[in-house]
Amino acid sequence: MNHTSFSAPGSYRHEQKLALLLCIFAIVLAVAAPRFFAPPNLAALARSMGVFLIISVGMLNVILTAGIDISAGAILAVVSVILVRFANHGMAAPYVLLLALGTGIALGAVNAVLIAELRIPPIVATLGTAGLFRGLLLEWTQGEWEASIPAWLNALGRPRWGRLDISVWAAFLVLLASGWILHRTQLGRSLFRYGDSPLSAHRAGISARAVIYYAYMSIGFLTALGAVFYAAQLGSVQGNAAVGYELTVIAAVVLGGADIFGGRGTLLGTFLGVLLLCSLQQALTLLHVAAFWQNVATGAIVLLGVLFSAASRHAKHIPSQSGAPA
Amino acid sequence: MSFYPPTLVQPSPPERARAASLRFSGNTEPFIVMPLVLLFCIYAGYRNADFWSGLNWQLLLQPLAEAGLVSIGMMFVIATGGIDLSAGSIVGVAAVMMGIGTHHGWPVWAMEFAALATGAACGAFNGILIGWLRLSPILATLGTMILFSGLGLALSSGASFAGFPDGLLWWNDATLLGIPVEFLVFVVVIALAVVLLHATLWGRYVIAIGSNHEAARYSGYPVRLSLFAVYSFQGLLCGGAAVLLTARLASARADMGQGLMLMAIAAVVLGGAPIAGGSASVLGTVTGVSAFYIVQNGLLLLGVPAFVQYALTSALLLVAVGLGNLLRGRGEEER
Amino acid sequence: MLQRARFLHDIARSGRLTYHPPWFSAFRILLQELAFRVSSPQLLEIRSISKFFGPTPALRDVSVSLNAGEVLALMGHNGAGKSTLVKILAGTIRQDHGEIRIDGRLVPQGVPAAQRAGVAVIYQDLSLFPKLTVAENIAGGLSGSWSYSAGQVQRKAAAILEKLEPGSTLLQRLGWSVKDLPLAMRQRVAIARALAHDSRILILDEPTASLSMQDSDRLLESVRVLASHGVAVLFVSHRMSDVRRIAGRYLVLRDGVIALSAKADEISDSILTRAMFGQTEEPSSPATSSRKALSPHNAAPALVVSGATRRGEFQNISLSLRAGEITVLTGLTGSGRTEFAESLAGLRRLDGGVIQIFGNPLRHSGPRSAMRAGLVYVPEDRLLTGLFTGRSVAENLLGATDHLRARFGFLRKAVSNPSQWITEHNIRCQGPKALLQTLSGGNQQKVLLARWHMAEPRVLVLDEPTAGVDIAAKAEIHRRLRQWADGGAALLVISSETEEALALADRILVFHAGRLVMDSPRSQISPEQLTAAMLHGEADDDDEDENASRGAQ
Repeated sequence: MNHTSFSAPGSYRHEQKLALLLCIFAIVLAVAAPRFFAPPNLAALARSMGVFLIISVGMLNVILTAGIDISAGAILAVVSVILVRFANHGMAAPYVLLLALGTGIALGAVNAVLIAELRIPPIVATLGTAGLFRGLLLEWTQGEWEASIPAWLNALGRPRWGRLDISVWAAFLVLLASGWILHRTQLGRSLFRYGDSPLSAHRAGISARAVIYYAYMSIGFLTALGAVFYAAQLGSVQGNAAVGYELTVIAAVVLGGADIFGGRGTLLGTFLGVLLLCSLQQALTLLHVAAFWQNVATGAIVLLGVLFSAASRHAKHIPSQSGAPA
Repeated sequence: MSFYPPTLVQPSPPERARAASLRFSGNTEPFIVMPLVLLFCIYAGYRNADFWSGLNWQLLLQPLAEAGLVSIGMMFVIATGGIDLSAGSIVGVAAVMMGIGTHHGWPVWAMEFAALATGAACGAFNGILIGWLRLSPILATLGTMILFSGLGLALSSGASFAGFPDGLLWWNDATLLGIPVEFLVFVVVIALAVVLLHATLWGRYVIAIGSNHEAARYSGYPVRLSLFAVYSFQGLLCGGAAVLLTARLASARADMGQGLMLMAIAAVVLGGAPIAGGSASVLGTVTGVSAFYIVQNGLLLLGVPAFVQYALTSALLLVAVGLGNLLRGRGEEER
Repeated sequence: MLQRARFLHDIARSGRLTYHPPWFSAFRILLQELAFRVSSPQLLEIRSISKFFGPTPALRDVSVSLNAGEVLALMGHNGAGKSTLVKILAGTIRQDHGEIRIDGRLVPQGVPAAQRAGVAVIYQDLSLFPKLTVAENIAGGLSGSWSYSAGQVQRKAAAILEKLEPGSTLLQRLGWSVKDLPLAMRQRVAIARALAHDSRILILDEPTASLSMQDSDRLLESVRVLASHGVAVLFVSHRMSDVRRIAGRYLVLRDGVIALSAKADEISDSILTRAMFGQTEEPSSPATSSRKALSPHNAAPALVVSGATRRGEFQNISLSLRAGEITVLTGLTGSGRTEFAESLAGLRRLDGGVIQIFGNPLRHSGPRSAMRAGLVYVPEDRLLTGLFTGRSVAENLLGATDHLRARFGFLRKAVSNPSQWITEHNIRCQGPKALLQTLSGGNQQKVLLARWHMAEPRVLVLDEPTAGVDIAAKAEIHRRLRQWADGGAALLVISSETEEALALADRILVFHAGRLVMDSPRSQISPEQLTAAMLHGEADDDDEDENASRGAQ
C-alpha cells in the first residue's frame, strides 16, 4: 500500500468528504433556492464568514494543542467595547487599533499564564476568565449600548476592492499567515506535537510554554481583530455581545475535521466548516425558516458531523499485529 | 571488576519519594474554599446585619438549590471523565414544556412530570450518543446544546410563558420550619447522591470509568449502561431544576438555564473534582455551589455591583483551582 | 616459517606497519595508549551524579563512563534509579550534584543541549507522536532552525530509512499515522528517529520488554551494528538473555547507588542477580516442582474451541483447556495469538467456529458476558486496560468482586481485609490506601492478578503476564499461576519467551501465521522443536508433527 493511512494528517480525507457534502448542499440549494447564488447574497455570505473565520483560525490553534478557549466571546465583547469607546472619545484610529489588538493579546496571555504556569486545565481556566472578563466588562458598560461608531470604523465594515468586505480580505490574509506558521515553522509544528502527546513533546525538547503562549495569545489577537470588524459591521456594541459565540466557533472547527483531543486539524477543514455553518444559516434565512429552527438544524449538523468522523475513525482503525515482515 | 558490597538501609526510596510528593493528594479545594467562605461570611455579616437574616438566607437558598441539582448531576458526569454542555438547554426545554402545559391547562402534577420526563429524555439522548455510540462527550453535548436550545426556542416561539397555577408556585412559596422547600429537595438529592456514589455498584462503576475507561471495560463493568444512566440522571435533575426555577420566577423561557451549565461545572471543579474524571465528592460539589452563591449574595449585600460579583466569583474559581494545583505540587518536572 | 614470511609480506604490502622487533612495538603501543588516555577524553563521562526527590535520594554518587562502540547494560530492580539516570542523561530533569561530560565538555541541562551533544533516547513507551506521520516522527525535529518544510522532512526520513534498513516496508508507509502501525514497526520508527540526529550516544530503555523473540533479535542486531559504527550504547533491561547477547559491560544500580560494575565475561548470572536484589534468586521458575502429571483424559475440558476462524487473523483453531492445566500459547508477533485470545474473551467476533465453555457456547458481547460464563481475560497492557492507576491499592484489589457481594445494586462491606490480601500476595506497597502508581511494575501486576484471584475464575486467559516485570516478581507470578491451576482453574498463558513457556507450561501451543501448528504436552517438546515451530511453522521431525496432532485429540 503506497498511500497514506486513513487517519493520517496528510490524507485530507475528512476534508474531501466535507467538500463533497458541501457540493451536494450546493446542488440542493441550486434547486430549492437559486437566489442563494446571486452575487449580493454571496457577498453577504462572505461578509458573515469574515469575522467567524478569523476567530476560528485562532480556535484551531488552541484545539490543535488539545486545549479549548471558552472565553473567546467575552474577549470579543471586551475588545469591541474598548475599541468603540476609545474611538468615540477621539483617540486616533491607529492608536485605537493598536490598543484593541494589544488588549486581545493581553487577555489571551492571561489565559496562557493560568494554563501554562498554574496548570489549570484549559476548560476551567477559560471558563473562569470568561466570567471574569465578562463581569468586569458589564460593570464598565453598565449594560449600556454604544450606539454610534466613528466614520473610519464604519468604513471598515463596508465592501472594498470588489464586492467583498475588508473583513473577507483580512480573513484571507489570516488564513495565509496562519498556514505559513502552521506548516512552515517549527513553532507551528510543535502545536501539533504538543497536542498529540505532551509527554513526547517534552521529551523531544519542545517548550510547552511556547506552545501554550502562542496558542492562547494568537486566539486573543485574532479575536481582537475579529472584534474590530464585528464592531464595524454591527455599528454598535454592548457588554452582552457574543455570548456563547465561542461554542459555535468550536463547532465549526470540529466540523472541519480537527480532533478535539489535539494533534490533528487543517485550515482548509476549518474554512469548510465555517463555510458549511454560515451557508446553512444563510440558506435557512433565505428559505424563510424561523430563526429557532436554524439552531436545531445547526445542532443536528454538528451532531451528524461528529457521528460521522467518529464512525470513520472506528471503522478504519484496529492495527493488526500482522504487519508485513520487513 | 569492581564490586561494592551493599550498605543500604532504606527500603525502596523512590517509592517513598513519589508518595511524599503527593502529600496533598485528593481534594484540597473544599478545604481551601470553606474557610475562605466562612471568613467572608463573618466579614459580610459584620458589615451588613441583613446578611444573617432569615429572609436573606431564604432568598439565597432557592437559586442555590436549583444550581445545586444541576451541579450534582454534573458531578456524576464529570466523574466519568465526560462533560455536559447541554445542561442549560435541557433546563430550558423542560421549562418550555411546562409552559406549554400551563397554556393547555394541564394539572400541576402533569406539568411536573412533563418537565422531569423531558429532562430525562434529553439526558437519555445524550446517554445514547455518548454511552452507546461512543461519541466524545464534549462534542456530543455541544451538538445537543445547540439542538435542544433550538428546540426550546422553536416550541416556545421565543416567547416566555406565564400564568402558572398556584399548585406549581407552591414549590417556591412553601417553607418547612422556615427552610424553603426547594432547599429541602436539594438536601434530599444530596442524600441520594451520597448513597448512589458510595453505597452502590453504580457509583463504583462511575468512578472506575472516569479513572480508566478501558480498564473498567475489561474488568467487566457495564460501561455503556452506566454512562447512559449518568447522562439520563443528569437530564432528570435538570428537569427538576426547571420545575423549581419556573416556580421561583413564575415564568418559563427557553434560555432560562443559560448560566447554569457553566455554574455547575465551576461548582464541581471548585469542589476539587478533576475535570478529567475518576473522582467525585458530594461534599466538594455542595461546597462549590454554596461558595458561589453565598459569596455572590454577600457581595450583593455589601453593595458590590452585580457584574463585579460575577467577575469575583469567577476569580474565586481560578484562585481555588490554582492554589489546589500548587499545593498538590503539580508544577513539578517530569517524574 | 613459510607462514611467518607470508605474514610479514602481507603487513608490508598493506603499509600499515613496518617490521619492528616485538619489544619496540609493544612499547610504542603502550605509549599510544597512554597518550590517548591523557589527551582524548572518553565519549561519555558521568561524575558523581546525585538526585533527590524531596528528602529521598534517587541516585547517590553515581559515576560511570562510556566509550564509543561500547555497549553498557544498566540493570537493577524497579525503583533502583535506572530511569532517573536515563532522564538526567536525556536532559529532561536536572541532577542535584555531579556533572555530565561528553567529549570532555560539560553538558548543560535541557533536552536541546543533550540532543546537540549527541544523546538520543528511546523510551520504553517509545514517546512517539501517534497521530503524526512516520516521516514527521522520524525527521520532524531535524532542521535545527525555525523553519520547517514538509517535503524536506519527507526526503530526510526516506534517506534515513534507506540507510538504516534499505528497502524496508516503512518506506512505503511514510505517510501513515504512527498509531496505525503495529508495535514492532513503531519501535523501528523510534530507532530511526533516535539515529536521525546522528547521535553518538544511544540510550535504550527496556526496548525488548514487549517484543517477541524475532523482533528482539532484530533489535539487538541493530544495536550491535550501531555499536560497531562507533555509537556508545546504554542499554537498560531486565532480560538477562538480551543483555548477555550484546553487552560488553554491566552496571548494576541498587537503591540509587552502584552495586556492581563489571565486564561481561567476568561475572555470572547469579552474581548479577545478587547484586540487583541482595539475595540469591532462582532464575528458574519453581513452578516445575509442583507440576502434576496430568494425562489428557483426566478431567472434562473447561474450554473447547472448534474450528475458530477470523478472516485475516487466524483460521481453523481447535484446542481445549483443562482444569488444573497451564497451557502456554506462544508464537511470533503477527501469528494471531493475541487476536485469538481476544476472541476467547468476547472482544472479537468469530467468523466461523464455536467456543464452548463448560459445555455452553460463549456469546461474543464483551468482557461482561465472558466473565459471567466464568472466563477472565487479563490483557497485556496492564496500565491501559487493567489497573486504575489513580486509585488506591485497596480499590484496585476489590474491583472484581464488588458485584459478587452486592445486593440489589448496593455494595456490602468487604468480608476480608485488603491488608490481608496484600500480605498474602506479597505486594510491596505503603498500605492499602497507597496510590497504585507508587508501586513498581511487578507489584502492580501482582495487584492485578490478586484482584482476579478473588473473583475465582474458572478459566483464565493471560496475555504476557510477566511483561516488563523484574525477575523476582516474575518467579512469584509463576508460582501464583501454578497455584491457580492447582486450585482447579484452566489457564491459558500467552508468552513470547520460550524460556517462560518451557518452564511454566503443562502444555504448549504454537501459532504460526494464524494456524495452530503445535499442540503438545511439555514433556514431549524440546526447545529446538519449539523454536522451529515458532519460526517456521513446523517441527523438525515429521514424527513430532504426528505426535502433536495426536496430542490435540
